[in-house]
Amino acid sequence: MKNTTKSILSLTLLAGLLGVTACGESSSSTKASSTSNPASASTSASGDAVEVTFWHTMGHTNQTLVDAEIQQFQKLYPNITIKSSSVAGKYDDLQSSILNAIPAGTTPTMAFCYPDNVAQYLDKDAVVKLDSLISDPEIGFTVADGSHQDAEGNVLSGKDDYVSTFWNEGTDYVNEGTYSVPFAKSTEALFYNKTVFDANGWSVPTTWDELWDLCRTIRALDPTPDGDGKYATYPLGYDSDANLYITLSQQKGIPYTSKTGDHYLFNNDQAKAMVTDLKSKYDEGLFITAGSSANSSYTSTKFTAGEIYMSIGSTGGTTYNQTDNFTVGVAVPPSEDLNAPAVISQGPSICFFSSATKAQLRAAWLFYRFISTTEASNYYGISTGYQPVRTSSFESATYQKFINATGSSRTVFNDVASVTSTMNQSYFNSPVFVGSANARVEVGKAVASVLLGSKTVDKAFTDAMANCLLVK
Amino acid sequence: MKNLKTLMLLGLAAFTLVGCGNVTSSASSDASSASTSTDTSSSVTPSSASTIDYVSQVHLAMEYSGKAFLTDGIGQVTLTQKVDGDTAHFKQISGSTLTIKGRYNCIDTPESTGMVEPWGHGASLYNGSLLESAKTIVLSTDSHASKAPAVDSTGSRYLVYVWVSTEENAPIADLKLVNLALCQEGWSKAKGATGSDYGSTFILAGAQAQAEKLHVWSDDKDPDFNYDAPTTTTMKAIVDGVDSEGNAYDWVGSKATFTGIVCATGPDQGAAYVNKDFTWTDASGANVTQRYGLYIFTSYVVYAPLKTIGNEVQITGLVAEYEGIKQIVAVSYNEYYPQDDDMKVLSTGNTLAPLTGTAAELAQDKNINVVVTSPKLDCTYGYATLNAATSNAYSFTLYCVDEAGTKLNIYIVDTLAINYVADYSYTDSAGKVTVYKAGTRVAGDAGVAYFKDAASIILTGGLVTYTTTAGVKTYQVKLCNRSNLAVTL
Repeated sequence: MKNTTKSILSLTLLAGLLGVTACGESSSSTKASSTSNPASASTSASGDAVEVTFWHTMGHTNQTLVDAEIQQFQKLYPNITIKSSSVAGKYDDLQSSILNAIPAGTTPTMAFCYPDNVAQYLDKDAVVKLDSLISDPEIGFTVADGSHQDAEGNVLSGKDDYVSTFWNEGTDYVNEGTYSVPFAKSTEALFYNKTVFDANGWSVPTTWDELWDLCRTIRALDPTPDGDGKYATYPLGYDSDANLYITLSQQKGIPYTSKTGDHYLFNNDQAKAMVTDLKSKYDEGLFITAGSSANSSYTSTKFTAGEIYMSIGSTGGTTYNQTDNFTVGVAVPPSEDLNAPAVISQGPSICFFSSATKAQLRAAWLFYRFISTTEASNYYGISTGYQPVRTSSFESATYQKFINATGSSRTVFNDVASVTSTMNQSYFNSPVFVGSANARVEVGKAVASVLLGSKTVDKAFTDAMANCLLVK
Repeated sequence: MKNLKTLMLLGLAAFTLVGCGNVTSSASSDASSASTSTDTSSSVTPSSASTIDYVSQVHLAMEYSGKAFLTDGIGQVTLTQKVDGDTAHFKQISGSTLTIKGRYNCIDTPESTGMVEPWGHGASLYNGSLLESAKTIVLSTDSHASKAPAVDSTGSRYLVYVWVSTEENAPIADLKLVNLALCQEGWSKAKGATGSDYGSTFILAGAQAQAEKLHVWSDDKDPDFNYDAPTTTTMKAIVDGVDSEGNAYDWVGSKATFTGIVCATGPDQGAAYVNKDFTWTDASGANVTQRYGLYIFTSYVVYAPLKTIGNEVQITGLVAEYEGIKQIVAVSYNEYYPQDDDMKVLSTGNTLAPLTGTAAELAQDKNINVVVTSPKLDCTYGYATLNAATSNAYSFTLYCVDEAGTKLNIYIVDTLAINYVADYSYTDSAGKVTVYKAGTRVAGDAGVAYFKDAASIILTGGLVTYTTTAGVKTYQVKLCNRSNLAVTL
């Protein structure tokens, strides 16, 4: 980042701080409700210290990165204290912790979230609508946070600088408005054994048809299963049964869930035919999933062991797809229709809780802006393997240098960044509602049980529906 | 440390008390409160009357007698090694004698071995105190694992619930869940708990520990963790255990900055052996030159400075100890956002050839973490251990001797795929003959036989030691890269 940009950003955010300190309310003042306008609410004048609690799932390494940002932020805003805490190791656990905290009134000011989580919080009137903060004249987005030019030369900033699917995820709830904002994103990539591909002259498949054809070619090289019907090698491993189901449904246009109405739409003939087809391919020995493999293990372990030639898994798990046993190639996952690609969007967003005071919310928003500028998004993305969330980040010289790295500094992470940087127009978000997380779990279980033969397709779908309807 | 040990003992006593069934109320004075309230200097919050003992509320629902964990998902075991706060190794009391590397379900304690993190040491001590006093240890798998016991993301460790009692062959009602105790006591946050058998209890226990600011939830610093800035020193000082004045100093747990040359990469992804020659004058006035080495463990992150052999690097990291061997962890490097403590490449193209010699010359403590090329070795026996997530990825421990008959063993990790150099015919114990084609992966008992049948084996890797369960100290060359192994049939 150029110094001038840094200065502008600092001054802009400092102005925001003044808004906090000048308009900050005491901690005993009325809490903001989810429908209030936290940024513009009249508050008492004070320079009181403001404490923001930030719950997340970051491990030690990633937390260290954010801690460094917190130190910088607190130099700019000495009256704001950010208390960052990795409350749980996984998003589901973090949601459980927050759902427990809501009735107790002990929710944090801000937290990592997936949209499924926010739908639950929103149902309990626990999250803050962010639109007034986003457009607040004092602390709303500025051009200095990040901007890029569109094809016509127009400067796009604020929410328009975000990758649209990443931003829209936070606006697609049952309630109208913005309730979460993107922080870092991941998706799925196709990791393949480039050494074997090159030796055999195989092309990396771009469509599912090409993929299954290649799987059959590979299977023909090792056609004999053992006594248990298992093969020593598999052409394809798909790490997440749920992602396989949801992505295929999206690409094929098969109803899965709906934000409104009956919500659970997956128990239909098209979906059953799709899973029946997957079962047929599984029985051919063309692929396995984590749910259908022994010990429920990630297929990346088999991939690096050379027992799987292609592995479709989260870019968040890139570390587990590295090996010195062969050269690892990275590609965009296959599409049903190359003209309508659809890849799943994952990774944490951030939401804000209505138990916080208005001063806390304003301070938390300033902190979010600080850790999501063009350069900050690059900093976290390049350092962790996540994708930045802003278009300006992808277009920046820093990120371009990262994805084009050569020599000893290039790793599989650079390959992943290079591939995913081409996918920004391909992401989709599944509908979110109370219970959407459960739908995801249940379809994943249904796929695994059908592949393993423990349930018929009909039984698997009937059970999945029943389980979804049991839990709100 | 003294306070921490006291805390551990009190915690154990309280835990045992609960195990005897003396605490039945869900909202009474309990293990958690007893274990923390007396430690006035620690960061834990004194207990309150509202503290809930979740450990006493959770019971194993299935009988374990006559069952084996690896086949039935539940079974009694004995402890073979406590590793850290959430990992331990066990053996079944019946059935397969394979070591079960158990990674505790639903929790994730701070690290204390490969990586060192605040509160990791205390978590490890607490886990150890519960395991080592137990007379009954039962492992179970989550009921959601519909097939064989589930493994973790590395594929090498089983996800386990660990149940203990200080009574022998304890009834299931008396068994206490160690995983939950660690969470309740604030030694771990819940991880992967939601949707598991006891998930909601883990979340509640964790929330209580958070509210009471126990250990990992504390606002205070861990008194057993070194927060000091790194000290600039040498590999020699770290390995010899001396400070800048030459006085004895245990570097484990301290941050250090030192230099060395990358002499081998692997076998863990991103890791490297860094060596350096030091020369000094001994008491007799003679010049002595000795090579020193350290293993740099990067938590599987690949950093450019460690990728190229011959790079002279400056490294800042935390001195840790894993299986009795010093290593450096918590290193960093970011080409795009450099920090003061990041690795730095000082020069490139340096030559520091692997140490060579007879087994007797190499198999010495002074050569630990030094990259060596073995003499011709003859494998006399060995064993293979399967990575449970795979069908063919084995680690090999090969017991070898050199031409003089001196022992020097070989260890090959399961992430390195070793291929047969020529077609190999193997006859198993039932007399079945299988021919393995050249280029296919060496695996299992056939692989052990292959190494035994080899005329000689030469490899380059880091010298390490390993103490067997019988207490015998052995020296091993740990293969770093698959290309550094030469098998002659």
